[in-house]
Amino acid sequence: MAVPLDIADIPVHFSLAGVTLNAQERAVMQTSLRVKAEAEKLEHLSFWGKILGIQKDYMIAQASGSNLFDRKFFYSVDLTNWLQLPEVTPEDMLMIDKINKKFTGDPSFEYTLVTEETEGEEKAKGQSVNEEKRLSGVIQLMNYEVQIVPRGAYYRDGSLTLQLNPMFKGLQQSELGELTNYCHFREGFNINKKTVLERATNFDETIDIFDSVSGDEPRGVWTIQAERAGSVALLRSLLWPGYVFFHTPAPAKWGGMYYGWGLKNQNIGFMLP
Amino acid sequence: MRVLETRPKNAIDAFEAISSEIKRSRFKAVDAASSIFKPVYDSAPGIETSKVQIQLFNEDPPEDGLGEIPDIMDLSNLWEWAGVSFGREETFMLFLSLRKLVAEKPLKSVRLWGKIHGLRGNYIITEGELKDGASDDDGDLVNGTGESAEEAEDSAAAAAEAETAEQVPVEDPTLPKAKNRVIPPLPKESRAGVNRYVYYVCSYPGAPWQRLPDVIPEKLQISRQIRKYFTGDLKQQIVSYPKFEATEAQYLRCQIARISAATVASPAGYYTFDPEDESEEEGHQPAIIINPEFEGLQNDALLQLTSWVHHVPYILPQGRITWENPYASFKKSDEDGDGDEDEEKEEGEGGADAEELLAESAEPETGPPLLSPLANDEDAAEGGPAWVARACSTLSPVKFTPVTLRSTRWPGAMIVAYNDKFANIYVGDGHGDVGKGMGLSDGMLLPPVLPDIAKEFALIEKEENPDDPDNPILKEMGMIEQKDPTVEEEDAFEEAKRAKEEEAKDAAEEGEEAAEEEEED
Repeated sequence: MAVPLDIADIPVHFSLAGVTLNAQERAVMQTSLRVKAEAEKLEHLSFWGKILGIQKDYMIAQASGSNLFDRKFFYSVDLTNWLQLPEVTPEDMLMIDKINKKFTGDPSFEYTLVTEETEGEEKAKGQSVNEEKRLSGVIQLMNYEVQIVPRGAYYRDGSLTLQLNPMFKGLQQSELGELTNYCHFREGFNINKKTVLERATNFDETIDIFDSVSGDEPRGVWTIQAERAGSVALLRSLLWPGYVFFHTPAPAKWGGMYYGWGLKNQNIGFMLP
Repeated sequence: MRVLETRPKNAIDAFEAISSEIKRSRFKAVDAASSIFKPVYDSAPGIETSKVQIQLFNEDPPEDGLGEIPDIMDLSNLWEWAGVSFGREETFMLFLSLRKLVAEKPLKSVRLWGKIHGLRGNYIITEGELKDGASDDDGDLVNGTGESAEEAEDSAAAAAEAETAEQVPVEDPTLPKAKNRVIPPLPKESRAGVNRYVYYVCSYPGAPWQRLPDVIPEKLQISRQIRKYFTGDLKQQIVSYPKFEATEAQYLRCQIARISAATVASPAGYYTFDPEDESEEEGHQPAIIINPEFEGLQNDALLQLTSWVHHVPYILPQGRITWENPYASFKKSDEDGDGDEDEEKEEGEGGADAEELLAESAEPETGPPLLSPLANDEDAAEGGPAWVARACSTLSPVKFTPVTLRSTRWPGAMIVAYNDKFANIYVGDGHGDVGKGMGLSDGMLLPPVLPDIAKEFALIEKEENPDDPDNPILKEMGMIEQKDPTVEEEDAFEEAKRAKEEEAKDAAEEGEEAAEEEEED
């Protein structure tokens, strides 16, 4: 089971990035998530992030079973009632990737995409996707592109099952500020893509099971800063502005949260210096 | 081991030598010759930050009579309701740091403007109003145009050199004067308009405050067209297209001005037009004062966009608040130069007339008046309202919950209000949404198209003639390289020339003879 984000950590650590949840949000969710987890027979339901909308904001929570990547997502607009997000088909995903509008706050809102093929004769064929699906798709995209964990926090056991590393004590002080020590929490790592040189230096097959974010393109898509006199490392994604990740070694704690409009930065190529 | 293997006679000495060798590699000697060792101590990372911050706590509380500082500990509760926080401890340090700022600088009042995240460092930004008559000129240290920043760093000698270079304009009277005169830069507003407030930034609470330079109108125009992440280093040059040609400090200042003008607002009635200010000049910005009779609005009223007004004036496309004729100097310079430079007058007559016309015909730019409601704001580029209003708590009645307004055009800008208290704050990366004229429909940035490449010479164009295999190319146009003549061709040319000359001579002689004959007749 993935490390759940402790809601109590939000005002302490995410305030370093300027964002927080207010007392009502924290209080209600600490209770309602527990109740929902019980009702759904889930081991744990943890806070994932907040996606802002025009009329209403979405609170997002996640739960995972024995396979850490097999996750369920829930959303709520009133903090108390949580609804499961639908699965997204690859075709929907293609469309969702093209929508670049702010969320409205109405889960049944239909987005109609006029693609280039439909502009001509087949005008009637305009596809549409509703906001609930889009929400689910955007979360999937973000999970793939920006959800990260510190190196060594997970390992694969003898049967190659992904496990939380109970021996993980946090990164060393000297490693805190290096992007190479933060990895994408996603499947698809291929050890054969690593060069011999990379494997020769400081490589451990049991814990190097994820892609490091230092290889992300374009260069500089992550910012890493030392906060609180170097005791906390704070990573912010520029690709999905609003995704913040913190890690502090003593006591070893980490967590990522999204707080923003749910929009990908398409202009990142122009904006990096 | 070595001692055991080699069994030297002075085993203990050898052991001691080896031992100190090992110690030396792991520990630091108290001094070079000594054999007393202490463990190598790396100073903890971030100790510099702590050393700077501790100075905040070592200062005595300043006396009264300093500039006003906001009670940010109180305001931070409001911000937290809106989802903005700097951290409790950090906010407290920031409070001390603000107090230090008003003690050091001649400031009447300050306001915590917000925080802009950069790539390597962040900027905590404070807006200050200078005391009447006081000035704080250290802005030039981190000033905008890059050159001055470098100059400030360079030795005085280099600065002096630059000055002398400027002072001796090489004027050659034989050279013709350039006909199209350069439009002089717009005068920047000082202590008024966009530059009414001065801004100070620091990278973490307790770090020394640095003053940002004043807004230069031309730079503000360009800042509307570019999007660049802040690096966290004020002296970083902005590399962009169109060219910004200044440091990050100037860019930051321009963005702050734009964000303030677009998002800083107050409840309607909080400010009122100054009744004593009766100047009716054209384009004059009326002064506003805090309304002493204002009692605050109810929360349910605060949720309406119509009850919020901009109290920071709109910035004209020109980059100023009051309009300035960019061609004004043309008019003046022509009048001045009339008497002494007749020659130039003759030459430039046509141009000067046109310029004067320009100066007169330039249409003053206008924008929405001061204290216009947020409800009139332009929609976000993608459609949808410019502001989103929320009650922070859905469970308590609207009366008892703070209200927040979030800007969609400048994500990160927000207003929080609770009955008679309100606060503007900005936390973000310093960029708004992509404006209508600047990008594609879905928010993709489209930088302005590059101008055409200047034409140097036409390339060779060949007109081909497919019917005639002997003479495939009919004619060539454009610039063609000439062939060097061969020796034979040169000889032939000489010959032809000589023949022509002789012919001419003969003709002349004949003519003479004819004339003579005529005379004889």
